[in-house]
Amino acid sequence: MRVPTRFVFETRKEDIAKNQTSVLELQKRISSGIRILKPSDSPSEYSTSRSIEIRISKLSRDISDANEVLHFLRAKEDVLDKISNILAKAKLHAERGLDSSTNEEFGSLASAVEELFNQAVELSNTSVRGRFIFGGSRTVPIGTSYRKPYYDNEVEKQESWESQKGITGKIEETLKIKEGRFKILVYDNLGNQIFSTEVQYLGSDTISDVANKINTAGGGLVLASTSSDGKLRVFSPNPGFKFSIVQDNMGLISELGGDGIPEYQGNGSNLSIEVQSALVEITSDGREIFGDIKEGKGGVLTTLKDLIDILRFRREGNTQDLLRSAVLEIEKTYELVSSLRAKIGEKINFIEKRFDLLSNIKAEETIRKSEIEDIDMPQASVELTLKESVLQASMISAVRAFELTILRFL
Amino acid sequence: MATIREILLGGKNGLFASRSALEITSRNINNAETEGYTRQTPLLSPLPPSQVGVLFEGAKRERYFFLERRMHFEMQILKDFETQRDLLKRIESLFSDTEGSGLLNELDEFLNAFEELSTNPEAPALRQNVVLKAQAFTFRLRETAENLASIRLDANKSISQYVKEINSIIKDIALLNKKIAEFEAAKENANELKDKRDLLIRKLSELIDINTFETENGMINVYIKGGGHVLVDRDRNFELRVEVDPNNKAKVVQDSEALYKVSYVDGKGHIWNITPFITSGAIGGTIKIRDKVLPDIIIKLNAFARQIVQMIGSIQARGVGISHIKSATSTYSASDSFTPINSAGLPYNAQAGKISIAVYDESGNLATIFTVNYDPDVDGIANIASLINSASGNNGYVNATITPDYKLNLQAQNGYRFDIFEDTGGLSVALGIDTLLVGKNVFDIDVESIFKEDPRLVASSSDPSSPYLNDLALEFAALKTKKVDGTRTFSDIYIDIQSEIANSVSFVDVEFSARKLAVDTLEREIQQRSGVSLDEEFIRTIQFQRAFEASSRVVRIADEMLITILNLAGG
Repeated sequence: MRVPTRFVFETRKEDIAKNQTSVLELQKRISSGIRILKPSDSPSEYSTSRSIEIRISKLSRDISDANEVLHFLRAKEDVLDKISNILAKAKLHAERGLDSSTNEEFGSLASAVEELFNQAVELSNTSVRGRFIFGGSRTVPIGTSYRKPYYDNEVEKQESWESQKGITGKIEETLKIKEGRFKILVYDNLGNQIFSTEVQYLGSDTISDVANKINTAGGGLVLASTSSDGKLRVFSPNPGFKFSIVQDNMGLISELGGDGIPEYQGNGSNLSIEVQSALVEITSDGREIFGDIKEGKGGVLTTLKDLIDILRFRREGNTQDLLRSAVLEIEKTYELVSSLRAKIGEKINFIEKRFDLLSNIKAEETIRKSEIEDIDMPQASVELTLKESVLQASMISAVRAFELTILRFL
Repeated sequence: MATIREILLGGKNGLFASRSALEITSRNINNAETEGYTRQTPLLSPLPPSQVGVLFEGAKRERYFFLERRMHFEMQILKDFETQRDLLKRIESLFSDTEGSGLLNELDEFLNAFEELSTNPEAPALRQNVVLKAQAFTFRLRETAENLASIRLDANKSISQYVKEINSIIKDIALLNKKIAEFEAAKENANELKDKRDLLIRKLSELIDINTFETENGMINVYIKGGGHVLVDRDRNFELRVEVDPNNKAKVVQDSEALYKVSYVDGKGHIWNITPFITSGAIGGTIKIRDKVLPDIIIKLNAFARQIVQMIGSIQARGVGISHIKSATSTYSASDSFTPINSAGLPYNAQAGKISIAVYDESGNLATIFTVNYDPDVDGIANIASLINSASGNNGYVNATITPDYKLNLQAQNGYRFDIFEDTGGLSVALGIDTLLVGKNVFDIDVESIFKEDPRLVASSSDPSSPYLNDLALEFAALKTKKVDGTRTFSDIYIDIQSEIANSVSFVDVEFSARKLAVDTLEREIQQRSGVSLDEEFIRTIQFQRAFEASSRVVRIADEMLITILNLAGG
């Protein structure tokens, strides 16, 4: 066979270039740790790997959702636990009432239950990550923020009302309300509405300015004054006449404490999060457990409010019977809370199991993806050594081949 | 018996032949590294018995025509695959998601954003996130499509360049043909010219699929294989040219720069479009990628983008966000006000159905709901506007008008806002209003401007009276696993496009390697026969040097013999 000189050089050059490319390619894979650097390296494996990646992403999302759900459910479980304690204490106070006889004793028990009532209201307004868990699927928006589900925002048919809280500065500075309005309705001693007026206020107003505006708009049928600590007092100058404060659009009256009867501001639907095709409720209609005093729906708050009324405004003769009924009502409410606790516990258990399962599947899928995509380091290192040796050998053999010419011997 | 004179003449012939052969060997040595050079061997033949010595007949080119033709064929295919491979690798890099930063990742994050929103539909930040992810995804889609179009334009430039190179080569071949014919006629050695021409033909075969035919006077005619158009006819060449083809747009699905077609001008000045006949060589490979592979990918990506716009739009139009629309204008222009929607040149068709609009006061309280029935095969946008205005009632909560560019504008009355929350026939998608994503094609897919301005418009609830529900957000999120075309999810559709490209790259890569091997083997075979071996030439040098010395010795001996005879005669 003839071996042309150019052919010898070209062949060697190509062999060396081929080996160099092969070494560089392997080095790139080793340094990145990935075997499949581009789709065409292995189209079917690349496509499988991408599908697994999508599944892993979905699993991560599901795990995150499960985690989110667990946060809400655990918070709910915690609230229900505390509510059970409140009810147990309320029952104890009711039972003590059965043995009490003096106004002082009943007054003291009423105050204790009022304290429990306030705690229950606070719990009804529990929020997790800014979402009220007993507010249904939403809470009433005020501008860009949200109102608590059990917010007392109205004053209903009273002769005189003094706010529970006081504000000394400007409204906007303390409550972040820029402007708002509410209506005052006046009723005569027969209960007929005889007057209606709207009071508009600005964020730059103080409570004293609001009182002045009520006096101006009230037409003498309703008057207002302020205390030194910024509390607002509204009263009817005519005996037997009552007034209501309603349609408090920015919640000024509710911020000042309302009349102490919490009103449900949430809605009746639930918000659910999907965890791997299973919808799990994270918020619920608060009335199911706390009730609605104004609507007369039974629940924790209604039960406690009834007990307060019995203890505070006891009537001769039937107080003992009312207290016995209240104890029975508390027990019924306690049962309701316990049954809800059991349901929540069951859900937590379900989600925790789902959480573990999802984590395991994710780990398995990650391993599968790694097996497809990632480089086998020991094998790659051995392969690299081999390829480097071949490259070295091809260079040495090239040099020898170039030297082998008759010219040297002539 | 030969005379002393004949011996002297024989010696002279030997000296001349050896020197000529030595000259050829020297030429071989000098050109050992010259590209395209063919080894030459001296043609020596013994003189007839009446004469003494050897005759130098000339130099023979050790070239084998059949090998060269096979080489042209293999080279055309090799260059075809090489060009395809290079372009496909550029395309592949646009679809690579290995680092987790590709289009698939953007799609995944976009759909994830909806799932996140479903966990807290009241949070404006999560709606902002949906819009941002939608923008990132649509930007990536547009960018990928633009890059594909830009590869088409680059391929187009290459085709123009290849045509220039082909014209230059065929001009040189025709010129060489002429010179070779002249040399041959004068019985002169035209080997070097033939080498140059062979090299040019090989270069030409790298660019375009050709056939060659050698004429009697040593000229070579060159034809385009497909269609048989003559590129070189003896000493004449027929140029190719590129002309703008108005039917071939760079962006395929959108009006854009027109690409070239390759035309052939025959001797009578007739122009032929030969683009479909060019099937291999670098220009053939480039045309295949430019006119088949890239349009196919762009069309698939476009269908994918449109499917997403329709799917997202159909869900968005079925619900409300936590904020509502003050004023919105449809994205697409109809041809006029009265032509039915489905014939008015809009990018998406609708079906007969109804559209319900919820009206809210500034505090977000639901004021009213009204419904409009429509038939897109009958109603034009003017009709739709009129139906909305009459359904809106005397209060005129929403006022519908037609803009000068035939778009539908919906404007809420002062103190009110509106939201489309039910659209059974896809009118919103057809017009591009309250659909979150809009775009006629993959090159202009984008987030609808009203959502960029107020992300709270993103629908999450199908109940207009409870905008804080998350049922629609869950439906959006379910798109991640929904078989949108019956068998595949959006990710599957994209992965299929990706796999198709990867398989093409892989196939072309394998074919290229196989062809490279074939070309290398053939080249080795050609080199074995036609290449210069320095060792061999050095040996020949010695061989002819010794022959020259021997011939000199014969001349000297004959001279001595002559002197001896002269001395005898002179006695």
